[in-house]
Amino acid sequence: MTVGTMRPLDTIRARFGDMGREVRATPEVVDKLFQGVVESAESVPELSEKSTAGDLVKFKCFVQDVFEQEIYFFRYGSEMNKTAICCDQVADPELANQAPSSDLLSERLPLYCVSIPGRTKWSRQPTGEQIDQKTEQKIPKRKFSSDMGETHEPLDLNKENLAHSEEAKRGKREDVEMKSEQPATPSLSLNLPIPSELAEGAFGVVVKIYDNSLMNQPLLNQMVEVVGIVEEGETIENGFGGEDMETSELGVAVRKVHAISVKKLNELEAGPFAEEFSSTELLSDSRNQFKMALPELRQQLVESLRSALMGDELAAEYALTNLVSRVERRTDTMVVGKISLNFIIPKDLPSSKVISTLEALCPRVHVIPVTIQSLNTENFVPKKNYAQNRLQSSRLQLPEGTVLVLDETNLEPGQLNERGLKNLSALKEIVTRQMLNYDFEFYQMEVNTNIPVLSLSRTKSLLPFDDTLVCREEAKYQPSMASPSGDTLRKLRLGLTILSTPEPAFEVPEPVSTKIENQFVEMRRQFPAHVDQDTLHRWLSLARARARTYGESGLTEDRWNQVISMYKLCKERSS
Amino acid sequence: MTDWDEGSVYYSYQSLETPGSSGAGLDDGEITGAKARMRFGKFLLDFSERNRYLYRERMLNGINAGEPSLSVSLDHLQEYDEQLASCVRKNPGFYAPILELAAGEISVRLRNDTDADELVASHGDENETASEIRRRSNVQVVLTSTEMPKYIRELQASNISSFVRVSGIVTSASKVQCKAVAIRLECKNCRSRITLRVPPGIGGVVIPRSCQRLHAEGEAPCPIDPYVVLPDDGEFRDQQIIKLQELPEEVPTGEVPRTVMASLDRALSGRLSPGMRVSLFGIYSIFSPRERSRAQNVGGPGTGATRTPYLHVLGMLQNSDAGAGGRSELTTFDLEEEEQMQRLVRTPNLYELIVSSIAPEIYGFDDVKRAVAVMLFGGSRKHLPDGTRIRGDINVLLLGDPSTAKSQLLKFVEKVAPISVYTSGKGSSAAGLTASVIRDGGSSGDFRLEGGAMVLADGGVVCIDEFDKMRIQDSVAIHEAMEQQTISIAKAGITSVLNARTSVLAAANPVFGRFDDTRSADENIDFQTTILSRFDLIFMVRDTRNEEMDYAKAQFVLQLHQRGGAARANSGEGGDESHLSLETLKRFIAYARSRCAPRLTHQAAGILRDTYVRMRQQVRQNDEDSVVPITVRQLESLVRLTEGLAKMSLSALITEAHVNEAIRLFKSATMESVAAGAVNLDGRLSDALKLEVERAQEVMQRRLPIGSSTSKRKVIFELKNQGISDQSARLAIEFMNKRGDVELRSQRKLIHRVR
Repeated sequence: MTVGTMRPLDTIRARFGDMGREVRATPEVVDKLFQGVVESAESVPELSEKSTAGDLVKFKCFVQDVFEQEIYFFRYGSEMNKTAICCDQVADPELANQAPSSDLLSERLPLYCVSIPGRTKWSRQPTGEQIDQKTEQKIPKRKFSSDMGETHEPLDLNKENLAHSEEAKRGKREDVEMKSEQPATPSLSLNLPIPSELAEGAFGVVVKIYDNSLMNQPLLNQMVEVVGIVEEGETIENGFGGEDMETSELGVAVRKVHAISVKKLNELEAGPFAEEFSSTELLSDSRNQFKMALPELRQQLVESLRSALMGDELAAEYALTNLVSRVERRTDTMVVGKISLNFIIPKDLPSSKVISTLEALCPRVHVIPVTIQSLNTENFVPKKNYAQNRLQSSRLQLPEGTVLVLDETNLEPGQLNERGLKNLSALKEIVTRQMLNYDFEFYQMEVNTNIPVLSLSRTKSLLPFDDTLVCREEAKYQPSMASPSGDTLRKLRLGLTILSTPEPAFEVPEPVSTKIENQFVEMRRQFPAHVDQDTLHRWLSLARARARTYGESGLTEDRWNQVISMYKLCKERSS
Repeated sequence: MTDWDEGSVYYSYQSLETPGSSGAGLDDGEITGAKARMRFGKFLLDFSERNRYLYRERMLNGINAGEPSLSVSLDHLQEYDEQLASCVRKNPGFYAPILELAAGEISVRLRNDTDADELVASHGDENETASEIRRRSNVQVVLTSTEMPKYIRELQASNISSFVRVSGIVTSASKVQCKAVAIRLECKNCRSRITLRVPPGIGGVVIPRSCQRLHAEGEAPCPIDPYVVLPDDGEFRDQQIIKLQELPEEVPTGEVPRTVMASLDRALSGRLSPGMRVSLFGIYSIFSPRERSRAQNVGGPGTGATRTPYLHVLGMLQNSDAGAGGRSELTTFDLEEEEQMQRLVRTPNLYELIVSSIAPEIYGFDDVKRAVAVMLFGGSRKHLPDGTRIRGDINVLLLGDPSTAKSQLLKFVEKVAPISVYTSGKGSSAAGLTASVIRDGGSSGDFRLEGGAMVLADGGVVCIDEFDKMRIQDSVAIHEAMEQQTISIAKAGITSVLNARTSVLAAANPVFGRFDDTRSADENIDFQTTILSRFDLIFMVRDTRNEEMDYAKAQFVLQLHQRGGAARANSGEGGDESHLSLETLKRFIAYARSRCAPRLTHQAAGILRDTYVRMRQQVRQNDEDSVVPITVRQLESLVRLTEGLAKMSLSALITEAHVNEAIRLFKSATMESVAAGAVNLDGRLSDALKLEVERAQEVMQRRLPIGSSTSKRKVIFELKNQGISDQSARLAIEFMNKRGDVELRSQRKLIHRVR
């Protein structure tokens, strides 16, 4: 560890002092100030409760909100040799007396980041290794306790329990998932997309970024890795007008970090296997290696899904296809590559069984119980809270690749209120267009999502899914293996992760496309009412995802035929 | 020294700078405050446009009306005194008060006060003169200009203290408060008084902690914090703090809209409320939020190194129309864009290019796309001498089978139209399609008007999906909205007329979800003729099967899924040869709409006239067939279509080609629908049928008592017994339904006689 990493702020200040008094806050200068402060990200410690002001830390997070730009003194002092970069508060009388002028000032952009939401238990582990240990989450690794120390936590829990019992008295509560959320509470708290994650050590950090080019890029809902300097002071504020919130009110500390480097992460880099694919060569290497083992691995994946679905092979194949599907491209009105799926599952199959299997396999899963009550009381749409000038998060503000499971099995007839209708149409937007309208009160902002949706219901879902499959119990089915564990499970997870990573190209070779064309025209002749341009679009999405489950980057005739027969089987079952 | 000769100079300017600003920080080429004051005064008196002394008149009117603000266009100043204008732009914080002082001075002079000379004579002390002017005539100079607005996210530290224009939507507005301009302080101990001037904008002032009077030697010093504020002696002005958020069309996809705070004072305050779109001109400034909130809280870890930016507003532009005002930024184009547009106009075959750029993902439906293109450009609104107006907006109805990409087309139009609202006939907002009165939540409980989709889309397009499933109150109001382009509302003590100058693009399904070939056309379509006739173009979109088209569709979708098609779909970067990108098209539409108002040439008018007459003659000659009705309304439609087509090519004249294309479109759309029998615009029938239908109506009128209900099947059965055919019976019921004699209830199964 170099001196720089130990006292990074001093390094930056010293460098600034050397630059002379006429230096302007250009991107190059800022770059030069930060260069080499982080020698290698590996040596930087993770952000933890022990991190104190001035420490260099790193962490991965999810950008929940982008705050208002701030102006800070890039230069000040009689000698113009001091800088307030990476600081909000400077104990320096010279700064207090400094008259502002535009050539002394520069801007930075605060982001509000939270721990990546929706991570399943195993993927929250820093390495993807230890899995089935029950003890794991007792003391969450990244839980911050504030200065009050240990006393704070039990206090908090008490409060929560109290709230619970109160709610229990009021009755009506049925879902454990929803306990920690009361919609439309005045305080946004940590503003986690999934509030129940608070108990699992979720954190919130205000990250201030200096990189101008980054400021102009889309940041909202991105997963990023931040390396930066911790600063004292525990308030969340968003520019003007928003009421500052002392984080002690939140029960959990919110740190402020001045970012020295911010790296956008893709699904793979943000996931639990990030280290294994730290370079693209490694990825393609393992892809190739993996190709050998693939047929078996794929079979195992299908098997484990099958065992969760009472042996229904068609459903398992559909499910796997759904899990690896991602939005590949968008045109003005169409979304290519997404598949949304509705499973109508038999009465004696509890949805929890399917969900737990998915959670065991996928790094990020979020389950939304769709009931009249949850629709009517929760808020699925992120909404701008103008009183606090922050974007109030919701369960649907999820990073790309999170598998969204809609559990409609407990849905019963009832009356939806206005909020319920809004929530339903938000779900509909995601299911049909992979898009969510954030509510900015005066207008709506469309935000693209990329989350495969799987719905479990007892009858046909309310929502217009791409495909609806009636699951059937296969009486003869014998689980071919015990539920996977240890190394096998790890392999399956790794396999699924690799399959979900988009390959750059997808080809439909000439003979196949001719065949598809012919078949389409033929089908349209036969079933004019059921087959149209949209159906073909869906078939192709399905074929594409299916090819991907085989690790193929092109469409073969076989896969196409399989998809068509899958589709036919699916149609037969529902009729 | 020519100024001396003009007689406009009454006092010497040598030492007349306001303290603290005397030439400090003035670069080369900047003018001193005194000079600026003089030159601006000269501009106010001297500037003339079309032989009128614009500002002199404005000021005189203002003086008489007691109007304290004077709106000055920086463009005029630029024209008159380039140097001064550029100085104002560069350093508005310094020059703006000087301009006001100058305006005040002129105002005093224009008022012809008897003691004006006295004021002039007291040139001894600049400060006194200035405050004297302020006392007599406090004129607020409101600056506007036509420059391109900056995006809020573009504002940077380098813009601080310069003149900027930003557009946005007001998200919150504080109450109008009194802000001190100068406060008078008195020492508790020695009663000495001082005056502190407070800088304009949001920043405050620090009250000195010790008495500033020079103490005599040996005198006990006054205690610490001796000053108390004397509110009665202070000088105050109104101030309002608002928050301005980026306009939705300016926010890049998937990002959080940014906000900037703005302070408005005096005449500008109290005019904005949340939800308004406005363009503000002002000084990009900063203040330290901690100074305000943490002033008492000394002992923090240090001084705040951050400042919060805000806009000190010097002027605003705001359209007075409800809800949807202030969109002038849509029609401002910089030089580069202007060139791009002009280049675009010169592309050969522009019409086809535009049409192929409409929803390129949807295959086929060429005429529908043409119609949509024409609609996007729109006709010209005409104001008649008697005050009525004829709408210029083109309304299009798509009637058709499900899954014929109607909704996709609507979504596309929503994206491409510069102003647009997408809604479903069922309506998602409480305000519905038109407008409603809402009781404000919170403490006030006031009623306020909330504009629905049609009001919000004023000046643009409203896309209404599921038009057939409209709520009853909306379908009543939409009659007015579509022809008169206003929405009247009278509820809860509020009566108001809101503008709804929108084109309507509506999509509807047939009654049974799909065209039922076995039933009569009237039964397939459940619309009143009154609504149908308000559409300029009505398309029947039918899912016809055609092998060739199916192949093309398949290829089309396949291409979409292949990486090879990426260039086609990735329309963000200018589009390719075959079609324009969405953004370019959007700008071009805005450009054409704002720049072009085509007129009919003689020849073109002749063709239109001839066509119209010929069609009317046809009507008269073959009375036998179900002929196409051509009324004045349809002629107006034709004119609008030609105008839209001409606008598309930015041509000032409507040529024969435009007219021919318009007639072709009209025929292909509305006429074909009429021919298909779907739309019966005036219910003409062959004579034999007519007689039978009339007889059926008679029977029904006899047999059905007023107020009674019978099942439809029974009625038809009974009519059959009277020897009336099934078709005539159904037609008769439809006619009576449309006339309002009967009502169809319970999914059209029950007939209820109304009158």
